[in-house]
Amino acid sequence: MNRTALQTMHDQLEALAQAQDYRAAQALLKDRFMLLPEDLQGRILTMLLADALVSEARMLDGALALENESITALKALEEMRIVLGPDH
Amino acid sequence: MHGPEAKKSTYEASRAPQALHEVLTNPRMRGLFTRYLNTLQNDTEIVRDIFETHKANGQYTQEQITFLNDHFPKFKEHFLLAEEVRYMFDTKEIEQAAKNHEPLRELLALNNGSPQILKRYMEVMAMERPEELRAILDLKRSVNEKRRSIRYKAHERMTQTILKRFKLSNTDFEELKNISNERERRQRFRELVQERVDGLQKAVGWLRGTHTERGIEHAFDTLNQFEKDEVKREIGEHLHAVADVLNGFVRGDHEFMEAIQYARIPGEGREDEGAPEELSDDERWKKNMQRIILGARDLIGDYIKGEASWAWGIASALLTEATGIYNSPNRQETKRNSKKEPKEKSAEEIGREEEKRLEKERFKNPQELYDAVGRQLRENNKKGAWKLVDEYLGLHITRKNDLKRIKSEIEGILIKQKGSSEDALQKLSEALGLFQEERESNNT
Repeated sequence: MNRTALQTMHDQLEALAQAQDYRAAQALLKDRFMLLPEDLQGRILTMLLADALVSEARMLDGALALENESITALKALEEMRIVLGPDH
Repeated sequence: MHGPEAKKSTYEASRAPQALHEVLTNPRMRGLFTRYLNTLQNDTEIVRDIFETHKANGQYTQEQITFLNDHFPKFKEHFLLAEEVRYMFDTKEIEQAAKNHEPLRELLALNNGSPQILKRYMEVMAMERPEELRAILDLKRSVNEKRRSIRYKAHERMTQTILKRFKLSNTDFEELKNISNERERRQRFRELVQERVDGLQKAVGWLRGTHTERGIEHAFDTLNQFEKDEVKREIGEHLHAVADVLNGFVRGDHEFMEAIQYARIPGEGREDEGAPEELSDDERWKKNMQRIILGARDLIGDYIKGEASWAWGIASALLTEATGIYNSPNRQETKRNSKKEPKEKSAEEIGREEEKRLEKERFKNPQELYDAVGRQLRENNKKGAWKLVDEYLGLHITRKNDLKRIKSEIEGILIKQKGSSEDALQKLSEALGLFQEERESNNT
């Protein structure tokens, strides 16, 4: 892909982002990706990898928080059960 | 220097040192070394000359040797970073990261799912953009630690808690221990937990249903400190939270993780996205895609301009936002500042503490430990008996008490066969007596 084609792709992504048509932008990126210089492919993939790691870190933070909250909930539940008596 | 010595010295000076020779003759290292030397913009000419020289005859001038010697240690640092990347991001790890990231998965799929281009570029980054790559590695390490906490420590902690709170019977526990196949054991554990989930769901129904008032009244009378409705609401919320988590266990780790990925957990979501509960799934997808498309646009734009800086702004912002561990270009400043703040406990540390706490509670009183050790000795399992003694006394030994000495004597009896089972029990009794005395004196 030469400089002009790269510039065109850049401008198209810009226009689609402005129009908030992210599905079309995603399709464009996917269609042209293999035509990009390998270095640039690597840069984009690395950015996506960092993004994926960030998402996963967030998700794991949420899971840890949920588990911690659940332990608290379990403790509270046990206390409630004690209070409510042996039948419950 | 004269004669052969002088000749040898001239010869050695004209050649690159052995390590450099290896670098220059190993295609992969040579490629990375070239990349690295090319980042030294002020020395382009000498770099070009070095490679020309190597191509021609491998005989270097003193100036070239000095240059190589000056830069090789730094290159080695970068090369080690590249090696670390290869280790941290093998194909499986990249696939794992892509599993829940559609755009990354899609672009990797274009190359038959092969991450080779990504891996090669990260090696290039080790030479050209080491700070940014270190940030990614920091993030990866943080994710790995969190994964470990979730999958092992936290699950272990939850498992212990469930066993404790829901009183899986000893028979259940023995049954689980006797299932050697990991998959079958997990399956049986889930079944046992499922029974408790069913029980919980009944309890939820019970709280919501006809028996609620009586139960809550009872609770209210006893607690005598909450408003009635507050108690009811609190119990209901706890039960829902518990049921969610237990269901996660029953479904299995993977599905559990997927299920909570988009769960509206307090604190989830990037700052620029606003509060997560304000976003629908579609809006969240749009926000994610906007970030990615604008990032790709910036990268293409910088590539066209031939800028060495490759729109790192977006990725840097992502990293800073997510982890707080990276703040390029002021990373050192961040590190210095972070030292001033009290260190937060990692999930793993919390897990260890919790395990220790549970272990401490394993025997509620010394008599229980004594009985358990006695049982092991009756079965002639001295190692098992020692393990119990070691774990229990180990938790209570302080510099002030004599438990350490007695523990060592018990070890001598049980492990080094320096006495009978009765001797061991007598020593244990002595140790527990000391422990009890100390505890009572602390209480008073």
